[in-house]
Amino acid sequence: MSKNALKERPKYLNLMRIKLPVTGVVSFFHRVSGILLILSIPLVLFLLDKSIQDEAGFNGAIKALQATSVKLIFGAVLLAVVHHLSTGIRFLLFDLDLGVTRESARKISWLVLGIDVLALLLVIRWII
Amino acid sequence: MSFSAGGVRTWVVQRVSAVYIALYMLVISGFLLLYPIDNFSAWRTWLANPLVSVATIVFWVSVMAHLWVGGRDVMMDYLKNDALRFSSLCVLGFFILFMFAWALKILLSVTV
Repeated sequence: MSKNALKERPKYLNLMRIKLPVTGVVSFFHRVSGILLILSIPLVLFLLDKSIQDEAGFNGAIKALQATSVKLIFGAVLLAVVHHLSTGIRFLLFDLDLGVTRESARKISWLVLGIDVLALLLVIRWII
Repeated sequence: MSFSAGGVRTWVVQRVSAVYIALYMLVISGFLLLYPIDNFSAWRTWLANPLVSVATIVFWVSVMAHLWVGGRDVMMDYLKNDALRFSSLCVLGFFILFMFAWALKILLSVTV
């Protein structure tokens, strides 16, 4: 690194100017999807609770799941499940010392993104 | 390194619960795709099956343990203010207790 480059180093961290590598992106969204999944728990339990009450509750829960607005929410939850699971498996592979080289870590991250896109297409098909 | 030394225990909890949650979701969704349930009484009968209900209770225990470790990690990483971090952890803790109690109440109320 030249002396000039050292001088030009930013004095603060501007999140908008940090360009994360693909491995960082999928890792960050492991956290984002995890938070979304935590927030979805009351919704899941609400529907489960309704569905076991009585006949009307069961039919109501099924009907609710067919409304576009509810489908949008559960579509996002499904995507979060898929991403959290595939990046979670990635962490388990790290524990086994697999996928820890830069090359293989990037490959796995692109694979995760590919699975995300596939899941997104399936979710869109389900909503429409 | 003792097992009770903070990091190791939470690391194990996170991995074991993750594997159980993944297997449970895989088995349950696979089963429901093969044998779809379309009416109330079949739904209740299925949920009342001891194998299903016990596996589901263990699922919710795993989810709560998993999200305590994960949520705690996220909060400890991003919330630098002591008071805010402490109160957020309290909210997370009570959220977990209430959600688990709710899940347990639902599952125990299903009897044939």
